[in-house]
Amino acid sequence: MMPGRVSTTVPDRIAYARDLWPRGLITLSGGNPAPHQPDAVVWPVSTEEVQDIVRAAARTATPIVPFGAGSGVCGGTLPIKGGIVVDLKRMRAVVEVDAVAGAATVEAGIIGEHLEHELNRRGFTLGHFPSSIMCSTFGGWLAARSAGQFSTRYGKIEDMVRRVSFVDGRGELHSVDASGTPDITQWIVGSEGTLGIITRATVTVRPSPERQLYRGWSFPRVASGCEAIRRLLQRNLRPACVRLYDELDSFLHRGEKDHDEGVPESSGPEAMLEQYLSMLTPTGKSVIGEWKRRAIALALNRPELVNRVAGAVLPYAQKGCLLIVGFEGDKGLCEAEARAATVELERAGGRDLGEGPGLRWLKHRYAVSFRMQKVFDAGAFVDTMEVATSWDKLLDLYRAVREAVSPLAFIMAHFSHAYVDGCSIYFTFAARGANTADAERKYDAIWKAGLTAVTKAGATISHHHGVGLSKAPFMPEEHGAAMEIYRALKNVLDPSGIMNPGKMGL
Amino acid sequence: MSEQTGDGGQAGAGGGGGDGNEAPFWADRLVHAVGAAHVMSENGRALVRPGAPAELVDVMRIAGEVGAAVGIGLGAHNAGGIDVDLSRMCNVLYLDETSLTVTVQCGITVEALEHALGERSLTLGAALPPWSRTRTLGALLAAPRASEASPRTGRFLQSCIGVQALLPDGTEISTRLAPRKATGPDLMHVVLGGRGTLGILSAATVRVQRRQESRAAAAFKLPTLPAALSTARKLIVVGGRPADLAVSGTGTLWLEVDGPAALVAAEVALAERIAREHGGEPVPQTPPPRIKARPHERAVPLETVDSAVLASSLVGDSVRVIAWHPAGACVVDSARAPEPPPADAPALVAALKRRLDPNGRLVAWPGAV
Ligand SMILES: Cc1cc2nc3c(=O)[nH]c(=O)nc-3n(C[C@H](O)[C@H](O)[C@H](O)COP(=O)(O)OP(=O)(O)OC[C@H]3O[C@@H](n4cnc5c(N)ncnc54)[C@H](O)[C@@H]3O)c2cc1C
Repeated sequence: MMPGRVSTTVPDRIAYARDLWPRGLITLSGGNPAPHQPDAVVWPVSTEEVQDIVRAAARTATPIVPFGAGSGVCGGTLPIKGGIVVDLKRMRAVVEVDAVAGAATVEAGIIGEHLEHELNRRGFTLGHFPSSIMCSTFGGWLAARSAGQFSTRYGKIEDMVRRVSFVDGRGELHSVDASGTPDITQWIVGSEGTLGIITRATVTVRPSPERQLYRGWSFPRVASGCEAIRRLLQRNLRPACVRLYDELDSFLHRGEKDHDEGVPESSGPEAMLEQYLSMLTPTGKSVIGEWKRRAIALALNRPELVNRVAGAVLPYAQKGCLLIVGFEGDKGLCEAEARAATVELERAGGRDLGEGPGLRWLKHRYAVSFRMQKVFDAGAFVDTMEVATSWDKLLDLYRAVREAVSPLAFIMAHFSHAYVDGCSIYFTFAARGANTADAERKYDAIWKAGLTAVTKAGATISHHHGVGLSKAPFMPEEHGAAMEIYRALKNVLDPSGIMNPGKMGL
Repeated sequence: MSEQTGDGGQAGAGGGGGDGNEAPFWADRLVHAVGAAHVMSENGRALVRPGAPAELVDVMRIAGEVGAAVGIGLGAHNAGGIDVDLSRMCNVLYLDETSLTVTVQCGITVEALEHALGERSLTLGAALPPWSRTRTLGALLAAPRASEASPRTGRFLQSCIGVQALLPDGTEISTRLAPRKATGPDLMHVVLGGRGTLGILSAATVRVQRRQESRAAAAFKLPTLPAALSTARKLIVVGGRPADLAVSGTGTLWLEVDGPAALVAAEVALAERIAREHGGEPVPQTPPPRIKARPHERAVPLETVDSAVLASSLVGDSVRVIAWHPAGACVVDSARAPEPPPADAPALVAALKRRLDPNGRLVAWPGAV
C-alpha cells in the first residue's frame, strides 16, 4: 500500500513529533526534541487512500493524527499516543473554481499561500490571510477554525464553508452541505482531527479587490479605540481589517524615529517575536533603541514591575493607541465605506494618521517569524492568547486577563477580528524561567491564570488558535454540559476512538 | 406555539399513555409540575404549557420516568405523548444594546419580538418573510426555512450566537456567548436545525440591528428572468450587502439598503451598474406585492440558481426568488402549497439521535419544513 509514501524512519518520526506549541519549544530547548513520536508517517494522495489508512487503523485500534503543516500552536498534532501521522499535503488540488457562483472546491492539504495564489490567478481571493499563510494548510484552517487578518470583511474560515467532505474514524466518506438542517459542516469544522480527516471543502471566494484603502488612526485610550470599532461595525460598515494596539503594543510597534509616529514596524505580535529575539540574541539586529532593549530584558525578569510601570506611565508618555483600518473590494463600495468610516472615527475622537501606517502594515503583514525558536534558547518564552467576547464585556475581559497574567509575564494586546456583536483580543506574553523545568512551570501557571480569568469573565478561551492539547483541560469549563454532545459526536463518528486521541478534553 | 400548518411529520411515538378517553396516568404529575391550568390531557396524550425553564425540566424528567414521548407543537399529530407548548416562555431575558444582541425565551413569536425590539429602535437583523412572523423563535431556529435569509446576515440561523436547551435526557446546556469561537465543533448546531429531535431550545441569543441613518429602495427591470437572476447573483458575489433583495418571475429586481448615506448610495449605484450590464433599466420602485400565505419554497444553491428556477417552469408573478445570501437563495411560488417536511433525517443526524436519545424520547416537529 502506498509505496514510497509511508515512513517509519527515525528522522521522519522526529520531524512529525511536533507542532509550534511554544511549550514544546521550551521542552526542545531543554534538550528533548521529541517526547512523543508517531510510529509511522503517511502521505496519501487520494480520498480512497485516506479511507484505506483509516480502515486499517480502526481494525488495529491504531491512533491517527491528521497533519496539515504543523503550524498549530496548541499541540494539536502531537502524537501523544503514538500511531500514524497522516500528512495531507499531497492532496493539494484546486478542484474547481466556480466564477459565476463565487465558490472554490479545494483539497485539504494545499498550503494557504498556494491556494490564494491560484485563486488570484483566476481573478479571485479567499480573503483568508492568517500570519501563518505560508506554513499552514486549507484543511488545518478548517480543522482549527482559523481566522485571517481580513476576517472582519471575509469572515473566519467557518463562515466561508459551503460543503465539507471528510473521512470519519471508521473510514467512511461523508459530504455535508452548509444549507442542510442541522448544518453538519459546523460539527466537523473545528473538530481538530478528533472526528475525522477533512479531505476537501467548497468555500465562498470573492473577486480580487478592485481597490484597497488602508489608514492609521490614533486614539487616546484602548477604550475609545474599541468604541470607535464598535460604531463602525454597527453602522453596517465592513472594514477588511481593524487592528487596535493597546498602549504597550502601540509603543513597541512604533519606529525609532519620532516622526514615524504610529507606524507599525511589522505585522503584529507574530513578528513581535522576531523583535524579541533580535533583542535577546547578540547577533540579532535590533530595531529599537538600547533603552527599550533594557526595558524588555527587565520585563522578562520582573514582569509585574514593568507591567505596572507601563500601565501607569504609558498612557501619558505615549501618543495613544494605534488603530489600523482598511477597506477593500468593489471600488465604489470601498470608497464610500472609507468615507463613512472617516466621519465615524473622527466623531469617536480619533486622529487621522494618514495612509502611511495603513500601507506599511499591509506591506508587512506577511512578515511571519519562522525563527521563533531563538527566543527560547535564551531561557525565555513567548506565546499568544486569543480570546473573544461581546462588546459589553470586552474591556472587563481585557483588564481581567492583564491582571491575572501581569504578575507572571510581560503582557500586551491588540484588538482585531471585530464583529457587530463583539471582538477578539490577542494577548502576547513573554517571560523567562531559570531553567527548562522552571520555564515549563511558569508557562503552565500563566495559561492557567489567564484562561481562568477568561472563563470567569464569560468569554471564550479561543477565538482562532483552537484547543489541541494545551487548552484541553479548560474544555469542561468552556462547554459545560454541552460536552456531552461532543462526546456523542465522537462516539458516532469515531467509535474506536482512534482519531487524534487525547485532545480537546474529550 | 403550535405549528400546525404543515402536514406530515411523524406522529408522537406512543408513550405509556392510557386507553380510551382517559387522561394518561401521568397527567397528575404534569399538573403538579406546571399547574392545572396549563395541562390538557385526553386519550393517552397531554398538552402542557411550561412557564419557566425549571418547569420544562420537570416535564422532561416526568416524560423520561413514565416513558412518554415529547414533542413541541405536535398538536393533532400527538398520538400519545406530551405535546409541549412553549408559548408561555416568551420573555425577553436580556437586551444588550452595546453588543446588539438579545437573549429571549424561545416561545416568543417573531412578531412579538420585533414589537419589543421596536420600542428601542431595534429590529432583528435578518429580513424575514411576512409568513414567518407568526412563527416562534424556537421554530425559526430548530426548523429553519430556506426563505429565512438575507444578503447581509445570511441564513437567520447565523444570527444566533448561543442557545439554552434541554437534551433528550433532560440535561440542560447553555452555550458560551462569543462572536466566534475556536473551541471544537459548534455544538449549538446540533440543536439548531434539529427540528426538536436532538434537544429542545428554551432560550437563544440572537443579533439585532439598530435602525440605520438612511435607507433606500430601488428596482430594475431586466429583459429576461435569467438576466435578472444573473444580476442578483453577481451583486451577491461581488460583495453587495443589501438588507433585502428579490427577483420576480417576470424579471424585476428589487433591493433595499440601509446604513450611512454614502454607503447606501454606493450600494444602489453598484446594483444599477450590474443591472445595466445585463441590459436592465431602473424602474419606479414599488414594493413587490405581498405574499401573505405561506408559499411553496425551495432552497437553491447560488451555483444553480438560474437552471433551478428555469427548470421549475415558472412564469408570472406567483414566483419570486428571495432570501439571497452568499451561498444561495430561495424560490417561492405562491400558487403552490407548501411542501411537507422531509420524512427522514440525514444518516449522520439519525445516528447522533440514537446516541443522544436512545429511547426516542423527542419526536419531530410537524410543519417544520
Ligand atoms: C507564526 C504563526 C502565526 C499564526 N497566525 C495565525 C493567524 O493569523 N490566524 C490563525 O487562525 N492561526 C494562526 N496560527 C496558527 C495556525 O497556523 C493555525 O491554527 C492553522 O489553522 C493550522 O494549520 P496547519 O495546516 O498547520 O494545521 P496543523 O498544525 O497541521 O493541525 C492543526 C490541527 O488540525 C488538525 N488537522 C490538520 N489538517 C486536518 C485535516 N485535513 N483534517 C482534519 N484535521 C486536520 C490536526 O490534527 C491538528 O489538530 C499561526 C501560527 C504560527 C506559527
